[in-house]
Amino acid sequence: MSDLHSNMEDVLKKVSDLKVLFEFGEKIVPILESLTQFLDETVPLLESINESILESSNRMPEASTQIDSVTSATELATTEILDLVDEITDKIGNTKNILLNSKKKVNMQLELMEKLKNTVQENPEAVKLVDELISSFTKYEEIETTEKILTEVEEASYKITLSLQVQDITSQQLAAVNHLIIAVHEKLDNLLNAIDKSAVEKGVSLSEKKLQSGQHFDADAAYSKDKDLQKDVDTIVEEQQQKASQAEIDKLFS
Amino acid sequence: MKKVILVADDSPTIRKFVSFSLKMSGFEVLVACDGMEAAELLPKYNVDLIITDLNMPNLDGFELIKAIRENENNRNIPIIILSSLNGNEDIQRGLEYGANSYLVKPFDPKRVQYEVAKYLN
Repeated sequence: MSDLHSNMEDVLKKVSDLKVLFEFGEKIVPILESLTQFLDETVPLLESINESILESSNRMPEASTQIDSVTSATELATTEILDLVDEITDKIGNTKNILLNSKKKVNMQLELMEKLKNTVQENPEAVKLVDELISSFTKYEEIETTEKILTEVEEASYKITLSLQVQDITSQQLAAVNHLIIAVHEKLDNLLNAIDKSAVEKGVSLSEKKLQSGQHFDADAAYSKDKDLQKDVDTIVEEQQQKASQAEIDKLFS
Repeated sequence: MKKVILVADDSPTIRKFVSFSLKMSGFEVLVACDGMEAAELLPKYNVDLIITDLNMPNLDGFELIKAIRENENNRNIPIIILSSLNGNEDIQRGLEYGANSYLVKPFDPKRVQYEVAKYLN
């Protein structure tokens, strides 16, 4: 009798547990339904994100190529400007030589006229004429002024070459950006592989189109006219060279 | 006879800048677009001085300097580093490898001329 009572108690307990479970089920079912609905809505969203990533990733090689084109174009333009500056400097050099020869000739002519003046000293009329001739020959100063202007132009050309170094610095910065694009492209490629392998196949040669960048760059390269930068380097060089020579002395006497 | 200077840099504009300022000072300039090309040019010419960048493809500036210093024939050629790298470590490494001077980009052409004159005049 007591066994039957005990069994009945067990059955009632299990029925009670089952009731709790059903009650819980009643509560959980709407949650599961909303979760299913949420997933239904999320899947297209994820697909669209996937497509968006794929599209962005596919555009990266193009962006990289465009950056390379910008670098090549600025490089070409800079080289052309430098060639012209080179030509201008050559011509200034030639003109300076011509002016130097002119100065020598003027000097010779003045010397000759002085001699002429001495030989015609008896004739005041002739002396007056020679003096007039000498005063008309005072072009020497004009030649010197021209030389001065040419030197200024030469220095300005020199400064142009200094400023054009910005091309090298920007090309290094662009190469650093390109490097970042390559890194992001590779990460996205891996992500797409993880999300949906077929997405990679859909992409325009996504896995094959490895971005190429043969440039070696300094990502921190900066265009600065700050002379302290070189001074700081000079200090390090001096310290290093002193260290080296002390080490040599120590070695010599050890 | 004109002194010969070898300029190694992967940037064509920098090669042009340096050549431009050196030619103005009356030097003959050889150019190489990386360390490997510079190393190949060295035995073919009587090079009096080398100006090299550090970041270069194929063979970088550090390795170039190392290779030059390891070669008996080139051991005493003065080497000037011309780089945008200005960190203490890079400078020390460059000098330890055997460079004689270190100049940072952007550079003053007059400073390059001064450094060259220091070793060649």
